Amino acid sequence: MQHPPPDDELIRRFLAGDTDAFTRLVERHRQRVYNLCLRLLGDADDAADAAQDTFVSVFTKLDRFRGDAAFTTWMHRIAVNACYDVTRRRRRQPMLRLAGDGDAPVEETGSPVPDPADELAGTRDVVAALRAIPEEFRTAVVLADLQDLSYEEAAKVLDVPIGTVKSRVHRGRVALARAMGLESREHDRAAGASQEQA
Amino acid sequence: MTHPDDLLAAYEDGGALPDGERAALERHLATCARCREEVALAQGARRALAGVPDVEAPATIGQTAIARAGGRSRAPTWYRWVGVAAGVAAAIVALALLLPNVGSKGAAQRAEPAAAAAEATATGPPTTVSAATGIEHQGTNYDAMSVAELARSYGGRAYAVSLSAGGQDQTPAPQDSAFSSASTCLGQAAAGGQGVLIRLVDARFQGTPAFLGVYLTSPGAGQPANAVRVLVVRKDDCSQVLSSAWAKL
Repeated sequence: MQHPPPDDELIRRFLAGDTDAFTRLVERHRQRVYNLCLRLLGDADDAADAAQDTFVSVFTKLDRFRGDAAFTTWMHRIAVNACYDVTRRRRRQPMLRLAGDGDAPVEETGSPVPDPADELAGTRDVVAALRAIPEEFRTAVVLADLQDLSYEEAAKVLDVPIGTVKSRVHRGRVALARAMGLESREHDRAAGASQEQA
Repeated sequence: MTHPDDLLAAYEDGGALPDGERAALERHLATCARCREEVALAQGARRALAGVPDVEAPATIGQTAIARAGGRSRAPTWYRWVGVAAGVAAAIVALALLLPNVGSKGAAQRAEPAAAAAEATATGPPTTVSAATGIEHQGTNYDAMSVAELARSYGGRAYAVSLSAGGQDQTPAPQDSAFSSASTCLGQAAAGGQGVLIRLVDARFQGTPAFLGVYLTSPGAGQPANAVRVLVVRKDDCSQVLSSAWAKL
């Protein structure tokens, strides 16, 4: 059975003039990029915009892709930046958001569109809680725990030292658990040894 | 007391830590209630995240880039635009010739599903539209939903593109420089891959001044239009595609 061509091969074919290779590259990564954007932005329309922008950027920059990092790492970096751009655009247009919403996603409690991820209450909790934690923590957690990037890959995507990524992932998980209300459940378990102050 | 946050993430993963680091971390955890509690919380968050399923991505994502990739050329800019203009002119002629025959025996012999679908919906005479020659100015503030709605409003019909007074030439009348610059603006974003421009709207998209181009597209030269595409670009930066949507005819 023939294996599908790796990303590098598709990129090489595209740069040699095979536009179908680019289509295959997009189709291969569409799901991954969209879900990354959906979890970073928490809104299906914004995620679609950011994912669309991501692939346009990939297209315009692909001839400058040097292959120093894996294509997926490079693409994640573009996608994360596209999400930041969408967030910035939304902050400049607060009147388009719901009244009282402002630029504080912390206030938002649910996905604005029906989302298969919402079928389970626990899933809804974690998806909503993701929107309530600081952006840099959310990005690190999404890359490591939802996109399954290694810490090394996440560090390259974010252009920060690997220790910084690990710290953000830990702090992000803790913040997420607290936003989900897990703290009260864990509190009893930890109470016996809680004399020490951090 | 300092807390080894950078080691805790890997510990929570249950992954391998170098022996020295693991021993030092476990000594710290034995005496630090704060870190023990955080590890328990973080592991709870990890379990919750593991249950988050992927959401199906809309198939339209990436289509703007694919259209641009399909329209790209390594030829010099002036040469590429000559090619684009020739392609558009050829498409107009082909559409004008073929669309009135949709639903006839000859058309019915085509085996392609897309063509069959078009025939199934195109029971009446095709709607005649002209290639855009001017700008519609609207006060509308579009968003992704209303752009998609605009695309869908063209669905379920067959179209014939009539040749305008200018014949096959897609170049607007010289006196309409605003249309000329706007259609060029959209054309740069579309890179020639969108089809025949039948409407050009000056409006806003989520508050940003934008041009909306409505295009009829066909799967190939000589084939009837099977889709309508709406492309939205920033007025002040034509390279920035704000949104796009398409609908089958």
